[in-house]
Amino acid sequence: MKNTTTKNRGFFFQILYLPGDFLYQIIYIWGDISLLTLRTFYWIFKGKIFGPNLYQSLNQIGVESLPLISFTSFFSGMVLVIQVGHQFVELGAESFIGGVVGLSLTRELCPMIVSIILAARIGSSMAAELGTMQVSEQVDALSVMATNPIHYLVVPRVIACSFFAPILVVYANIVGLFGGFLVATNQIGISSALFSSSLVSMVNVDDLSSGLLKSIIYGFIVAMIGCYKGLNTSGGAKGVGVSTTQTVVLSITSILVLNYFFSLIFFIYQKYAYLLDF
Amino acid sequence: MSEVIIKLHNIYKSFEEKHVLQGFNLEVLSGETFVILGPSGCGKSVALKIITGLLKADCGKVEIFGQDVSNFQEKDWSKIRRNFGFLFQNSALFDSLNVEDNIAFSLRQSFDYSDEEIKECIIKNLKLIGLPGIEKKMPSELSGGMKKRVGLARAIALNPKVIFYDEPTTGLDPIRASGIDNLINKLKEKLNITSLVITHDLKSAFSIADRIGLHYNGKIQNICTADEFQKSTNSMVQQFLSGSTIGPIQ
Repeated sequence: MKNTTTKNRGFFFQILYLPGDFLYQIIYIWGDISLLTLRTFYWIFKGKIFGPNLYQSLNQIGVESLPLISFTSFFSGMVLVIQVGHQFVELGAESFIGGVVGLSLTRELCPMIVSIILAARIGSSMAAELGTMQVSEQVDALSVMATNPIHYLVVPRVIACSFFAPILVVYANIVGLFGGFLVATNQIGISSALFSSSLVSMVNVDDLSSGLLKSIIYGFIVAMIGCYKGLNTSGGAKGVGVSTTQTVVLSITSILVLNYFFSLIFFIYQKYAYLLDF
Repeated sequence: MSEVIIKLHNIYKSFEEKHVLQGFNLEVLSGETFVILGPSGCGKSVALKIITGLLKADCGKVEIFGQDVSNFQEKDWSKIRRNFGFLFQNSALFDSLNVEDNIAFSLRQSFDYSDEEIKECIIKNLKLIGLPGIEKKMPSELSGGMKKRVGLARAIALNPKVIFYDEPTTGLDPIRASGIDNLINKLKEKLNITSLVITHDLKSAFSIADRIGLHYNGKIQNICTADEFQKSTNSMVQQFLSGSTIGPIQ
C-alpha cells in the first residue's frame, strides 16, 4: 500500500491531509482487490482447480470452524431471548418471541457472527500463510515453476470460503435457534409449541435466503482480502503481522458497511416485492 | 561460437527514488556458468528477477533463447519458465510440503508424468545431491545446507536448460559451500546446463565460473574469465578482491 503521508508536513497540514490520504488508500486498496478478483475469476473459469489445496481449505474453513461457530451462535441465541423475552412477556406479546428471535438470527445475527469469525479466524490465517510464503520467496518459486500463484493459492481459498460461509450460516441458525428455544421454554416460561408456531409463521424463505446470500458475499470478501493482503506482504515477520491485522480490520469494517446496504436493499425488496408479482 | 541464451540490453529499473539498474547489459552463452559478483544491495537479485519475469524492467530489452520477452504477459512466461530452474537464496522450499512433494511439484503441475516416472526422478535427484532417503522429511527438519541441496534437486527436476542461482553459498559453512560448488560443476558436466549465478562469495565464484562480471552502480563493470578477473587491474575489481573500504566502490 502506498503511503502518501509525507515526512515534512507540519502537524496542521497533516490533519488536513488525513481525509485525502485515507480516501486515496481506500480507493487504492479496493482497486487492487478488484483486479485480483478479476484475475481470480479468470482462473476459476479457465484452469482446473488444485484438488488437495481445495480440500485442505474446505477442511480448515468448514470443519474446523464448527466448534467456535456452535459456541458463539448458541450463546447469541440464548442472550437474544433473555433480552427480548421478559419485555415481550410484560407487553403480553410472548407469542412473538420465537418469530423475533428467528428473524434476528436468520437475517442479521448469524450471517454477521459467521462472517466475523471467518474474518478473524480464516482471513487472518490466509494473510499470515500467504504473507510468510511471499516474504520467504515461496510465491516467486511458484511463478518460476510455471504455476500461477493466484491459480494455486487464491482460487481454492476463495471457492472454499464462499462455499462454506452459507453452510455455516445454516448451521449457526439451527444452533442459535436451539439456544433461544432452551431459554424461552426453561427460563421465560413459554411453551415449545408457542415458540415454534411463532417461528414458523414469521420467518419465511426470503429471510433465510437473504442471510445466505449475504454470507456468500461476505465469505468471498474475507477470502479476497486475506489473499490480497498476504500476497502483498513485505518486510519480514513484522510485515506478516501488519498484513494479518489489516486483514481482520479491513474485512470486519467492509462487512459492517456492506451489511447496512444489503439490509436496506432487502428491506426495500420485501416492501415492494408485491410489485414484482404478476 | 556458442549461442547467446540470455541477453539483456540497456535495462533500467528503479524503485521510487532508488535507481537499481542503469543501462545494465549482459550476455550469457549456452553451456557456460556466468557469475555476477557485486556488493550486497547493488541489485544483482533484481537483474535475476527481471530475467525470469518476476519483475518488469522500466525500459530495455530482454531476450531469452533469442525471443524478446520484454513485453511478455504472465501467460506467455509460463511456457518459457519450463526451461528454467531457480535456486533461491533461502531455498524457498514449500514448507507445507515434504521433500518428495517439493521435488515433484513442477513435474506434477506442468507435465503429465506418471507416478513411477516422478518417483524415479525424485530418487535420482536426491542421489545426485547426496541426500538419498530423505523423501518424507519436512523442510523444517532440514539444515540450511540440506535445504539448499533439496532446492537444487527441485530446480533440476524438469531438466531445465538454464539454472539461476541466487547466492547459493550464503549462510553456509566452507565445507557445505564447497559441496554446493561441486554440485553446480557436476550439473554442468553431466547435464550441460547453462548457469547464471549471483554471489559475493569470491571463493565460490572462482571455483565455478567460466566468466565473471562485476556489478556496481547499476551496470556490469567488467566481464572476463575467472583467471583474468583475479589478475585484473581494474580499480573496482581490485577493491572487491581486496575487500578494502577505500576505493571507487562505496
